[in-house]
Amino acid sequence: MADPLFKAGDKVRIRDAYPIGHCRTPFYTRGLTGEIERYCGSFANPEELAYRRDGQPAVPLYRVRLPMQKIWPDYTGALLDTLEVEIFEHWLEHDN
Amino acid sequence: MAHKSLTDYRGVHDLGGVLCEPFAPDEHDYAPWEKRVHAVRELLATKGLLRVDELRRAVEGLGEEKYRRLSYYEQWIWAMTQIMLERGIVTDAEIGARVEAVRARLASDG
Amino acid sequence: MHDHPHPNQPDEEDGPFTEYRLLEVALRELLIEKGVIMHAELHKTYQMMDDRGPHNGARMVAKAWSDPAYLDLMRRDATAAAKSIGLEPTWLNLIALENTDAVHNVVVCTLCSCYPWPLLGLPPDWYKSRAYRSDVVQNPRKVLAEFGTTLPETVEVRVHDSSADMRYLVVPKRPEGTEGWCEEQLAELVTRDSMIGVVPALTKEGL
Repeated sequence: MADPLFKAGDKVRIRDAYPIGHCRTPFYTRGLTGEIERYCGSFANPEELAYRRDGQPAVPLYRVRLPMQKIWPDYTGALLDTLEVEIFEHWLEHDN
Repeated sequence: MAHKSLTDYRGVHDLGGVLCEPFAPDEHDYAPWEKRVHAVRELLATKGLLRVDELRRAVEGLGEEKYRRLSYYEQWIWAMTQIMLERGIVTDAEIGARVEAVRARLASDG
Repeated sequence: MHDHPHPNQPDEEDGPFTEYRLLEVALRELLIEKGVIMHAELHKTYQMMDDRGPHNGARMVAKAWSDPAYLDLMRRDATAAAKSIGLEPTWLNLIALENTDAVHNVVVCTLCSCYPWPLLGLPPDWYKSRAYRSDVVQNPRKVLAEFGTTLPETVEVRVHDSSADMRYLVVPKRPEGTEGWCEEQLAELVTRDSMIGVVPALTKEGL
């Protein structure tokens, strides 16, 4: 199991990728930038498990916090509002 | 965001922000058959014979029309059967014969 | 779920037999005949499912309201907090989300219907509906209003998309006027929907 690459507070970008297989990165979050809320532990890769492989080595999983205004440019709620979503490490890159 | 136009790559299940019918906080009491589907799924998972991501993959493969039309546990029993077939735990011939046997049993029970 | 003395017979109360219900009977019978699963295991699973329900989550919340050390454990490791009061140990990787004067949390799974079954039982239909999964991440305040929940603009609405291995339990705010209540009394105020985050806990008057 690899050490997690990111830590709470890191600015990250969710990859703008569109695989055809099973994955757990919601479409609406792809390509967006946010901040790591926490590292959740490492888990077998669902993109492998779905096809009956073992999903090892386990992949670090994070919760990423995104401001609603960044996800939905015409968001009508409050400026403060946020969304947190679980994203696996191979879907994240540093946002510098 | 140009790639967001790649909607063929968006799964039928991936619903965040998709325009749908209006929301209404409805619910029903679970029917015994729905609980049985749930129980069998949990048991198969415990035995390592059905990973949740396999089940999800099979549900995601239902196609748009069927994904919308089927109830939650209809989706599950369909997907569970698919995975049991893939794993060679049951065969399509066995499933087909048993469905007809159950149908006949019900008819004779009136 | 009631006991099932004649497992190859359908339940009367199940209503009309659709193709999918035929498939349920067929698959279950075949799995049992082949020895893949056993009757006894299935019954144990039914019983385990019956023991699940919002009363479990409510116990955790009431304890968190009453016991600062437990609240601290919930914040650090909610799975351990569940196990420490004897709740079903499972696959659950639990995170507790505390509602405060500054933040209101609400949970969804946009990709399927991930839900903390052991603590809340099976989810309501609306939680699994296309509309909830679609809308609550985009218009959370509008969805909350459907439940009668309106929050000032000074409160951050934080939506949690339960997209992978974690499961979530919202800890609603403790209602006013409940000082001195015991955990059992407090637990009565904690509804399923308040632990999903679409409504507050019941008030003393609402009980």
